[in-house]
Amino acid sequence: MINIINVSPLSVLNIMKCTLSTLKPGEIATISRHLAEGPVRQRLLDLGFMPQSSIEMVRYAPLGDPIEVRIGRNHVLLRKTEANTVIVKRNA
Amino acid sequence: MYEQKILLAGQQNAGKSTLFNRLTGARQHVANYPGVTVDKKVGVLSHQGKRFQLVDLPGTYSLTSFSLEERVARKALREERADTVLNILDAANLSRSMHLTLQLIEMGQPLVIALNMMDVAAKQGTHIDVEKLQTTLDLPVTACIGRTGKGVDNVANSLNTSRQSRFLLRYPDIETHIRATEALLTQIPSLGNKADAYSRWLALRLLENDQELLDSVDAECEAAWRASLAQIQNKAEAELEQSVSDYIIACRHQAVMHILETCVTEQNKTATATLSQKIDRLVLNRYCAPLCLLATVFFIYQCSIVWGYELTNYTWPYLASLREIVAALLPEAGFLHDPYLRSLGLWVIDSANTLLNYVPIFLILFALIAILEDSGYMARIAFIADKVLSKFGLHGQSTLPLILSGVFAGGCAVPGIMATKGIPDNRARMATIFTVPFMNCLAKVPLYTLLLGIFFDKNKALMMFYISTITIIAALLVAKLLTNTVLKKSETAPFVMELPRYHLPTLRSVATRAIERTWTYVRKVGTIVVAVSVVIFVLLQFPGVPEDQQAQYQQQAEQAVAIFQKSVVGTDYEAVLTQERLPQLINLYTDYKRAKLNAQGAETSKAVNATFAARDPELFQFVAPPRGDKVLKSIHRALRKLARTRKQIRLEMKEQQLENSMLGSFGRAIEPISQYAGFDWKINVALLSSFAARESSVATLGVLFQQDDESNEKLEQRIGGSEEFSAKGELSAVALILFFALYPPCLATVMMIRVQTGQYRWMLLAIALPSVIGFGVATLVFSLGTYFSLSGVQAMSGAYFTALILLLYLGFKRSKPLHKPEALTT
Repeated sequence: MINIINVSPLSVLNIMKCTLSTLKPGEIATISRHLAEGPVRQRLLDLGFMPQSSIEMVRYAPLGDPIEVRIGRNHVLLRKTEANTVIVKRNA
Repeated sequence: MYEQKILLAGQQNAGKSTLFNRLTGARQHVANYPGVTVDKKVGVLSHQGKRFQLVDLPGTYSLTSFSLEERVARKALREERADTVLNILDAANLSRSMHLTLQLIEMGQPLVIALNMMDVAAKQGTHIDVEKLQTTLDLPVTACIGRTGKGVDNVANSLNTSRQSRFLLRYPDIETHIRATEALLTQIPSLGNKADAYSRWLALRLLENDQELLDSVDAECEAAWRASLAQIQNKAEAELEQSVSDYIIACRHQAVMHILETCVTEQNKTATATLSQKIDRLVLNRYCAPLCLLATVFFIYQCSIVWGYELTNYTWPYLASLREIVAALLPEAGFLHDPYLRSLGLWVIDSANTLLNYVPIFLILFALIAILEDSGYMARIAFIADKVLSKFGLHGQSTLPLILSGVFAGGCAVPGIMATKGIPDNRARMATIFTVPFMNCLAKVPLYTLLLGIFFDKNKALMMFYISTITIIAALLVAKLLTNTVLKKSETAPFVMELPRYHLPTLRSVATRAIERTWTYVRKVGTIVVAVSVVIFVLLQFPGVPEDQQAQYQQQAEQAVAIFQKSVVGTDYEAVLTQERLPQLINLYTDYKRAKLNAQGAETSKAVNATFAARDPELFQFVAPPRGDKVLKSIHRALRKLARTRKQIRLEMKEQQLENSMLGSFGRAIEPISQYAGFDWKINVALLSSFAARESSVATLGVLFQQDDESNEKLEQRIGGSEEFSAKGELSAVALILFFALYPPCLATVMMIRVQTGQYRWMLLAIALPSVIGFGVATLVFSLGTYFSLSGVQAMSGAYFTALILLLYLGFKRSKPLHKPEALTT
């Protein structure tokens, strides 16, 4: 059964899980899954956002959006709207 | 003929174009892929007596159908039937590059691999066992450094050795479904029966639900076929408990990891900050970033626009002498009427010169942009500016086009529009193309200076500030308007992009790009502008001065000649100065005067004398009479007077002609409408003619607001004192300034919009929209200003703050997210 709920993802996730855009600079997390479909999902996977890989929030742009993250050696820029579709688990 | 066709495939930032340039040198040209506006770079490589045709594919990470670039690359790979596909990998980022490689292998392409950026890989402690990689992938692999050219010969050598790899990427959980889909494919005549090498690839894409492929088979298959495909898809997804495409990517990822484990050793696995990261800590720092960006923009502006403009002072004499050479080749000027060939020739060369005059500016500008691109700072600019721009439907990468076209009063929309190529999001790219012409290009400045000088001498600085910022406000508002209306349905792309490492740009690459782009500008824009200048010439020339008027001028001319003849009669020179030689004499005189004006320094001045003396020694004595010869002196005086009268008559004729011309009648015809904005027919003509090139607006006004007698007023005084302007001068001027700021792009820009959007309807929109908006704003400001009897500055302030408030309202209003609300599946 598939239910589609149009609410903020956060409310149904447990406390350790959050969207990528809520990490603070310097925080490291593990990608657990993607909510996006189509082009956004494809592009994220292309750029190495594989589930279970480790991801670091590097910085926010001066105006707070977009954000810069690091996966392995690669640095990737993405807008918060896209970052909101990535569910991560904060590393303790 | 080419013996082999080679496609270059690789991801963005893998150094594909660097290698392409290394391999082909200058023997390349840029076209479009059929039907789309994606650049297709084609070059020639002669190597060991063979000629190869190289085609640069768009940089892609994958070969899905989600983005235009990927669709184009995929189509080329499937249809161009290349002898070799050269896959370029970033050695310092193998895990990412390898994904594309595995997809190319899966397609059954004849491949060779080039590992680029080996130096960067070595520096970060990555050691790649090329031999092992070669055996693992079952493909020829060569290492190189595209930036310095090291190993590029080996890459060229390997081009003959391409082959289909026997490496097979397995998807254990869906193999049965792949086979089932392959079986289904045999029922599609255009795909299956050929038993192509890539039927496995096709099957995988169909299982993934690849939209483009499904659309292409739709025409040939029956509903039952689609149903059985859907059945297989559902079954696969149910078994996998995830989408097929996710599973495929995961398998591929695993395979890549496995290959890297066997072939690559990392020396320092502890992540130390690289140089790029250290620079970014400063350059992208919350407080430093805006300062760095401003400094960069200011530097570009200073180097290209300010210094480049100064440089044109040195290059202009060459263009002026080019004009002289052409003028000498054309038939000589008559006393009153010039042969059409002469006026047309000079008109065309003048239009061409206006454009060529910008070449130094563009060379510097394009070189600096190439440095920005190569160094990797461009991506950072997008990062810093995206927030503001995306609010209005633009993109972080719109910054550069906007800068180029003159955010700070001085730029050109043509390179600005060319620079929109880099924007990956199509909707934002289109919005940028339409808003770039609002910026203040170099050619708009003279009219502003003229009007400000006449009407707003005291408030010059304030008005200039208004002008240069209201254009940005207008651009953002129009971008917002367009993205919410006509562009609403155009394709967008997610803003997810790689932040490239910093690179030191090489002189070679910067110089090639700067020259290449300037040449494109000259060629594309030059030819069009020359062609259209001919049309405008005709519109300004015909039907010409009415006959009775003509006779009057003729009479005036004859009188002037008679006066001159009187001074000659009775002297020794009566025989020399016959009626037939008079035009020659007067042309010699005016040419000489002009040459003297252009000549700088005593040396050149002497040289001019020598040249003209040689041209016609007999007539030259009247032009520059020797000291002490009283007879020659008096003839010279008479000649001077005659030349002045002739100039006067010709000016009057020109004005008459302009008034009578088709463009002039059109200007008069739209006067009933344009008067609501405070424009009379003269302004209309100036604005219409400035469509060909902005510079001509002031020149046309100069002709229209002629001086009457011997009075030598400057154009400012003439316009300021004229009837048309004196009544509601300031308000008319404000309306004119606003209209000119929002005015449709000039012809060259319009043609560039056609090239970059690929469609005439967009070009027409780019003309119509600013005309309507510009005229609407001008009318509104003029009417309201008249109604409330505002001063010019008051009207301008009113317009400015209204626009600003609207901008802030839209900027702070919480915009609806561009993406659909995220759905959460449980």
